[in-house]
Amino acid sequence: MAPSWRTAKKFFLTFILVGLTVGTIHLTRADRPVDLNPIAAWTRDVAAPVQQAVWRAAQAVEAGTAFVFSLGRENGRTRALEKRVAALEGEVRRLRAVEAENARLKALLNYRTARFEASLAAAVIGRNPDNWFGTVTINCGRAEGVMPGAPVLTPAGLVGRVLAASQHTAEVLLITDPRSAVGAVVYETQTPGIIHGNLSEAGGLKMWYVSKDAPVRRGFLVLTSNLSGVFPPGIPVGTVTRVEEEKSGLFKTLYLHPAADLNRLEEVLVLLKKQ
Amino acid sequence: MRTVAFLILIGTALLLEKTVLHFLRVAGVKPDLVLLLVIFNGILKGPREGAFWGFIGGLIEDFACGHYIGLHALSKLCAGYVAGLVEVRVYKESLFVAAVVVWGTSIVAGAVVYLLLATLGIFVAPVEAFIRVIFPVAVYNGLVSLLFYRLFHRATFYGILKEERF
Repeated sequence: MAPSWRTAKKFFLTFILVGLTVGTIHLTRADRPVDLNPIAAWTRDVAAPVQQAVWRAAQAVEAGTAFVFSLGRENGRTRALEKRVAALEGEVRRLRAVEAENARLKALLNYRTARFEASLAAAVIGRNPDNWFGTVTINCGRAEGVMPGAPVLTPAGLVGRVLAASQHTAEVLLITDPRSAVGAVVYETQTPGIIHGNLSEAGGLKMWYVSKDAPVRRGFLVLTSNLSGVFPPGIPVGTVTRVEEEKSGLFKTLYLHPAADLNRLEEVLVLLKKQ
Repeated sequence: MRTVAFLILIGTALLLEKTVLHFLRVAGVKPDLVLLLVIFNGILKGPREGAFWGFIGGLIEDFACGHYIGLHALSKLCAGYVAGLVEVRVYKESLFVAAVVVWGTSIVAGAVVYLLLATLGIFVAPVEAFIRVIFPVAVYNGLVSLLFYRLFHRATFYGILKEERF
């Protein structure tokens, strides 16, 4: 009798523990921009300098090993030029988008861009520790004016938005994160859809709810839409790599390659909202 | 001493996961060092301690992430417990056995995270989750365990992780 009572007690306690933990997970969920709990915010601020130093060292080692393994082909100059090319490509995409937007929705565009008065350059100092989510930590926080919800981009294209901020750091939700959703439009056909992240860096991007009749092809450019409540319109998000018909027969799903190189982020721009 | 050493190990593993390991990704994934520590501990110390340190290690990771407090705590608790179940059943000194246990237990931990994410409304197609995250991480963890298991084994029985007796 006694052992079975003990087993039942053990099961009951386990059940309570699991129930409490699941409850806590739900209470601390982060589907939208949130305030960090004080312990997490303090930990981040304290760990940021160490994290930044380790990140920089790892970056330097990676650059060194890439130089050796590419037999000298991948060096500082090549990287700088690659960065420049990516920035110029982004600029071209942006200008194309601005031209189109100006022609069609000038008033709305002016209204949207007027919402952001400045941008702030921030350095990436860390990534999320697990393989499920896609977030990066940057070295600017509330003290510098970075608030949850602020759009983050590079000259090449959209990176994501600020999910949470401590005093001196901020966590940026990448567009590849499964929690991310971006209202977007195919530039060439002006077909709208919603871009969802898939699985951290491994899964890439998918654009859902694209009209079945839209003549979208591989290589088409996708930009943020003017209907997005979070991002200003016209920022390049990615290029179409594959088009797939949905099983329901109503929509197409587009697979995208991100415009910004999210695996090699070093510096990003945070758009600061008008107060 | 053992407790402090284990906490420092978890902290260091987390720091590496947030920084250096990003540059060592293979097939888009990086190894889960905290999970490795938890599994090693489970294999060598049994289910009770495996589950306990799994919960603590995961909780620290959750606080470092700042959201979904309990997600990693619960998955690593399960991993530590399952790893501990094999404690008396296998030859613990074998590197190969350890790698297989790490591989299998990593799949269990990944499946628990997947299920918890589904309850949060974060839906990822099961096949994609398995092919792109759960399986590659398990394989990577298994390979990394070949490098560090002996070291952890020695530290547990003769080094800084040795149980103190008064």
